[in-house]
Amino acid sequence: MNRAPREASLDVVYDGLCRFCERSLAAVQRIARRPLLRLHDANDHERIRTKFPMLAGADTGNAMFVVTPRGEVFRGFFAYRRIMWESPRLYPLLPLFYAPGAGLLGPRIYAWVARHRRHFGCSLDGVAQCSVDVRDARLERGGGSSGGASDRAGRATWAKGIAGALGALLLSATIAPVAQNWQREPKDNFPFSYYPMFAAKRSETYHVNYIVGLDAHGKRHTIPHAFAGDGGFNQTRRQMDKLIRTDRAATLCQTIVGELAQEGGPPFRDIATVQVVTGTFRFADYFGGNTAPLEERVQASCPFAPGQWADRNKP
Amino acid sequence: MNRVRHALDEFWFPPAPAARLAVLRILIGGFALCLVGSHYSMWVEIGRSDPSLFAPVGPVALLRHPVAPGVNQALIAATLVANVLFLLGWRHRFTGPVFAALLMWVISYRLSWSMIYHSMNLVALHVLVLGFAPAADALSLDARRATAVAAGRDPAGGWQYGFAIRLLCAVTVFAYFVTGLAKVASPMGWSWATGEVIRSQVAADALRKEVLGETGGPLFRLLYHQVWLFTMMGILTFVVELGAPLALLNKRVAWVWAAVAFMMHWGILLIMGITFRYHLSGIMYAPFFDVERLVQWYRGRRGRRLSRPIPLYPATP
Repeated sequence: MNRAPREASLDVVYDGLCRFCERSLAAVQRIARRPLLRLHDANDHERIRTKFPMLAGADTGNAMFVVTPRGEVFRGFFAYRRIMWESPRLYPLLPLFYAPGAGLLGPRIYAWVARHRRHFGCSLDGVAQCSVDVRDARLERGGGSSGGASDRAGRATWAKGIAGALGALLLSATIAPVAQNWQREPKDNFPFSYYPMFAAKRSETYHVNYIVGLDAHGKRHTIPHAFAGDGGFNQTRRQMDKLIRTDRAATLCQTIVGELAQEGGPPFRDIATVQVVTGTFRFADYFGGNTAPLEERVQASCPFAPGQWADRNKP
Repeated sequence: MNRVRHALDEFWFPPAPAARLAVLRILIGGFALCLVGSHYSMWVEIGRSDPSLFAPVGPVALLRHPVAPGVNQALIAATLVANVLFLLGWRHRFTGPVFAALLMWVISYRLSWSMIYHSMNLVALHVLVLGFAPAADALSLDARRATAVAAGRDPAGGWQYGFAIRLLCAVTVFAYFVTGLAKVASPMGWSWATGEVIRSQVAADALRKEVLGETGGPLFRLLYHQVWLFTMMGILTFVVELGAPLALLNKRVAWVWAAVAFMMHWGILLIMGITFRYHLSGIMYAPFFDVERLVQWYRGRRGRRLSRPIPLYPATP
């Protein structure tokens, strides 16, 4: 098997004097466990101009750029998002980058971080800028080692910056679905929801789909939702609504008959007909003691032959 | 500017002991294990549903068609295995994110069949935070290997633990806040609090439960005509939901908020028969408390029990 190491495939143009930028890109590659990126210092203007003509006029001083082998260019937040697709090890971060509202808030957060990048994780005295100064200062101290309290503090600031940015993305994604409240056709999602339950008022009357079993004497029996689906009460109810809405009430009725045939116990053995019905109820009447529907419409009706029960109970 | 930065730093990155986050890992991981384990058969069965009912949500929206039932079953089983490793805190740096991703997937897949159960949102989000946080630096197999110290963290009190706990709290309160905003943004607006809406919603829920052969809230029939009670519930709901972010500002406010929200969900169970298991268990509100005291309490109890004199000979009857 050919196991030649994969080469870096993305060109990244970034502020090479910013240690925070360097570290965040290094962190990405560490997580990916392979070199993903060919890094180019945006401050080397001549080289960048020659090597990446597509970046002519780009504000490489304000944001990081990613250039793909096909010549596509991504800037800032979207450049980071593009990098995430480069390794399966980075995929767990993708939901954050594609969370609802991430495309709106991500670039703003990125812009803020980019503006303050030289204050993150690289100051020697807590306020000084990093870049060239850092390296020079290290040389002056005769070190070269990255030890020292200020450097530890710098690393902590850097780590807090990353953690804070990810946390902000998560919270933004939690809040962003609020916008659905003002959409013409709001769409709910998971795990970021706008939690529409119990928000709207119901009218005085209520339409509900349910299942009725009739025995040979026409006596009604309630057939539980469990015979119509496996996903619990509300899911089965929604699925029933969907099937009836899409004119598949007959299919639903057949499914219920099939389930009754397999699992229906004594209370259901006398049933002769299964009906899927839509009932209209008035709340005040119903909870006042009159539980009869104002109106009932049979959506589908399926015979449930007594023989079916006998046959299926044969050993 | 520096003062703002300092205030933000103090707010979002307060030091906290590793044990607090570890207890949260155990509590929330334990709840997740019960959730997935107790619904194993049901979730496997759901994977065999009619494909025409498939309505993918969350990360499952990447799929256009359901996966094969066997794949779904294997993923649920893998989630259970990852869940146990998460609970034990074994190589959490890898098993944490893997479990978080698997749980997110299996819950999303379970909800991708025409109904989103909102009670599961916060479990998935909490595990997501814990999975990527250093939640196994104490009370774990990793802790025996002192991985926290190796990574430069101080298990006695690090901002990494405090930040993760703060994030758990923030995600919780903002979820409540968004729920409250949905009510204010509805056509009823602030008049939602009069209780009419909640009464009509609970009535609809109770009615359909009855006609579909399910048991509704035990008290609802008795309480339907007590409109004042629903008005109180409406006001309380607004206070709990819209006031939730205040719980981030002060510890005592957080405790009061958590206690009221916890009781509200028990009230919902009694009146409406709706079971929000994560909320009812109280585990959802654990990040607001110094839960590491549970460990101290347990160790103290155990210590007392072990220090009791043991009779040398069994007592004669």
